[in-house]
Amino acid sequence: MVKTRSIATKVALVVSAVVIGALALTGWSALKRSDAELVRLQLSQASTRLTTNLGIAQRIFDERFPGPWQLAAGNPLIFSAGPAAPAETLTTQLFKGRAPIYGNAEVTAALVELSRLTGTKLSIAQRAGNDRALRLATSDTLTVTAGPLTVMPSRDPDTGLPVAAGLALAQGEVVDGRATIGEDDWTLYWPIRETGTNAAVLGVFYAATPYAPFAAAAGDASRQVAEGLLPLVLLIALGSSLLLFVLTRRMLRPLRAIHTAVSRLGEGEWPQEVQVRSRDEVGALAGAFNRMAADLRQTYATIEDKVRLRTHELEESNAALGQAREAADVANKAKSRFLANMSHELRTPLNAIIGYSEILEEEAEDRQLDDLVPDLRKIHGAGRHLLQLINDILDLSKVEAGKMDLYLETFAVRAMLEDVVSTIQPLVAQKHNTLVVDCPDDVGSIHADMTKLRQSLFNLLSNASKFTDTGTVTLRVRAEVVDGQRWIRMAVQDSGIGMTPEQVQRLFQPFTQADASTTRKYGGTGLGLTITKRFAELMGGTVTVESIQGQGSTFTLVLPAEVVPRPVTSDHVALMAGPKGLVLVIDDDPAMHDLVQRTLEKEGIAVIPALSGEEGIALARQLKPAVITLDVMMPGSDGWNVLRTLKADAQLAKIPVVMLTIIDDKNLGFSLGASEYLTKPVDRERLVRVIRRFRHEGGGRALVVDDDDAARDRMRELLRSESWEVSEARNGVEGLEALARGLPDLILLDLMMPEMNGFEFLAALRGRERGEQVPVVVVTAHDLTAEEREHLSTHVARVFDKDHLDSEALVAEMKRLLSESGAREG
Amino acid sequence: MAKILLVEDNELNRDMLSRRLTRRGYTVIVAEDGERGLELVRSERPDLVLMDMSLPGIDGWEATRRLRADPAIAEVRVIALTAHAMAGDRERAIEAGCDDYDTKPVEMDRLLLKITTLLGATP
Repeated sequence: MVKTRSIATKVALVVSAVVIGALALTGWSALKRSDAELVRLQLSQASTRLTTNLGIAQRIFDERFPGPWQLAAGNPLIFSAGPAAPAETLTTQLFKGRAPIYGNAEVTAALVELSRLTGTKLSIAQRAGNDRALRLATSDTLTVTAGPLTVMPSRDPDTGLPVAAGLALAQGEVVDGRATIGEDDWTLYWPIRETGTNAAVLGVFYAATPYAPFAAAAGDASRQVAEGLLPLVLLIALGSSLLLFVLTRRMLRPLRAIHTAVSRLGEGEWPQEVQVRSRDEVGALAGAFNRMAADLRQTYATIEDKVRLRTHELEESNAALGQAREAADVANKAKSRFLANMSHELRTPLNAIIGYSEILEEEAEDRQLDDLVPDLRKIHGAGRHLLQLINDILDLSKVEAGKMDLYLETFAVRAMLEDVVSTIQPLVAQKHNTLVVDCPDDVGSIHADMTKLRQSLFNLLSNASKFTDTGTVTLRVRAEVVDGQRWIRMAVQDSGIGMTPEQVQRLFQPFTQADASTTRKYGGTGLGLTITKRFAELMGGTVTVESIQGQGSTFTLVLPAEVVPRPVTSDHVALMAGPKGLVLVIDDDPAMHDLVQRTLEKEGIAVIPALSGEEGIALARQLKPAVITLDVMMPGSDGWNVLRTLKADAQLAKIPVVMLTIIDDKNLGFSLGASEYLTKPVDRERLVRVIRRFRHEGGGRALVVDDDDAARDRMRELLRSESWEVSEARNGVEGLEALARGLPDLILLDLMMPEMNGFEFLAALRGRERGEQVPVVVVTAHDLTAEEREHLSTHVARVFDKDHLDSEALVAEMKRLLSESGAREG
Repeated sequence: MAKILLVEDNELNRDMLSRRLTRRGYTVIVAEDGERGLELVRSERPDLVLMDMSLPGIDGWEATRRLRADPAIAEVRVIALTAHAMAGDRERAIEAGCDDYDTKPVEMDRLLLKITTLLGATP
């Protein structure tokens, strides 16, 4: 790691430099000031209290000490005297601001005298400049007496020399070199050095009274000091400023560079790296910035690459989708054309069959060949039946291909009914039935597709007539208002054979009549009801049925009085081609469709996309998907609205809705009726599990493995009536082949089979991946040994006795197992 | 004896329908396409034309329009026959000038009813 000198250090350095400079300056000037001040103080005191003038002092000194006394102007009065130098020159010394007085007792006395004469307070503090003197000073404690003047001369005990004694004008005491006399705080000064061999320090004389000439002189001195200092102060200040400026600039420049770089970065430019070489925080910051910028550049480049790649992939898949869509469109058009052609091509030879059989029938009658007539009638009848089948298939495929258009017009309901009744009358009469029409005069008009409505009613009436013999068929029509909307309710009631609930359940599935024998007995294509239902749904209506076996059935067609054209995106619908267990994905994000579609289709689940709530609802109404997945945030009608609409529609309310959204509001979702709530990003496995669980509500996919055809038939019928999807295998080997095509939700297993028996199959199943999860129910006629029973108990959910099979118990057990595995998966 | 012209390109249908109509006492002449049909209308003066609409060359609609446009033959009755029982076919046929319309395969009784209605009498 690069060792950086921190900014703090730099700043500290700068600040230190500045502070040191400032301190030096102020310290020195303070020192200067204190010296100057001291002088000024001393002089000021002198000038205040010393009323005499220099002349007086001079006179006194001249009187007392004839000799070369000299008073130096601008300084305190300093006397210096010593025993050995009576005529010693009074030296004037300015030593670090302290002005010692050199002198002797006489001098002291003179000073005292001076003080007395001038009425000035005199204070003499003394301390010897050497140990002895010091000693004296300490041993001979200064006795300060009250009174104007007390002179206390003393002598050195060793030398006998007169040494300085203190004088004070007021009482006080001396502690640690400081004397407190009265209110004044005196600093005791001492001579720093002696002059002359026997020089003794007398003390410092302070003039307590200001002495104007002194003060003036002192002022000059301090001014001189100040003036002398000024350039230096300025120089230092300037230097400091310059230093600070330079250092600041040096520090700020890289910061500015970084700032610029960051700004450019923010604007999306990729600046060159910031050139900062300093080893402080700024340098570190610049380094970090450079690394970050490099990382960003790298990341951005990677992202750009990825985006380019994804864009490319997307373009490719879009192109592929476009091609697929075009192909689908082409295929769809081809399909429509094929249907139209087929109808023509099939009908043409059929016309001949029907026509010639009629001709032959007539001619046979003419020529009395009566024994041929029944057979010719059969050919004729079969031809008619085939023709009807073809027509119905054509209609149905048109509906399912989304090609069935609605021709909406407004017409009187009664007039339309009369038309239908006159058409159906011969058919009703043929079976000796009575047709009763119950319709109020003021039933009004309807805006719908007249042809499809007529055909629907015709289908219902002919159906009723077909299954009723010497009974009554009632057509009851009412106009009613539900939720502010006008509806036309048309009920066709018969007193015919009726149906069991199981038969009712299968009723609307294509090609399924109540049972196989029905077709033989009653004829018909089995498509009439399916078509009627699809037509009704196309017009936003419903067909419902109530039936009691042996007592008759009531089919009720309800249409809105104002049918609105349904927006049907035919290419979507064409692709769905009616697979069971369809999943409708409502999401405005095509990428989501892609993901869900790929995920689910891998599992063999057909997916229909809807890109908006409105389209989703329309497709849900039309396709009746097994499960709907629903996004919340969509333009137009959002997911919550769609959910409300779905749950408010009796036809759609039962379709489980799985919320698939980024919005995590499960409470709202569940309270509005969602069956499951998944949040994006999608957990694909979970999605698959959930979809499978809901897709098979009511029934799952069962594999029946049994070599007995009759048993398989029975199982199939039983399971289909419970809405199970059934696949079959005749032995274990076929069973394994069936597993390879996809695992069922449940296996019904016989034990005694050729090629591979149930035990072997079971072992193979449990050895497969995920094979352990498939519940197995054994249905066998075989008498199990205790050992076999024990073995099975660990591998199968339940064993049923084939010979005494309790269908209800079996179905209940299967449902339980299905819901258990669903719950386990979900 | 009413004369009926059957314009039909399909041989089986033509044969079948002509035989059945003949059986019921009509004089039947046939044409395979629209152009030949119009010629026969002019030369044979049938009382009624059974016109298949999907014909090669001049189709049934066009043939009917031309027939109505020719004052000499404009009064001839025309019943359109079409295999496409699509909504709008009836309207299109009437628009082209047909007097009535029926779908194939022909239901003899229904067709005969329409013929007698138009001709005002049985053959």
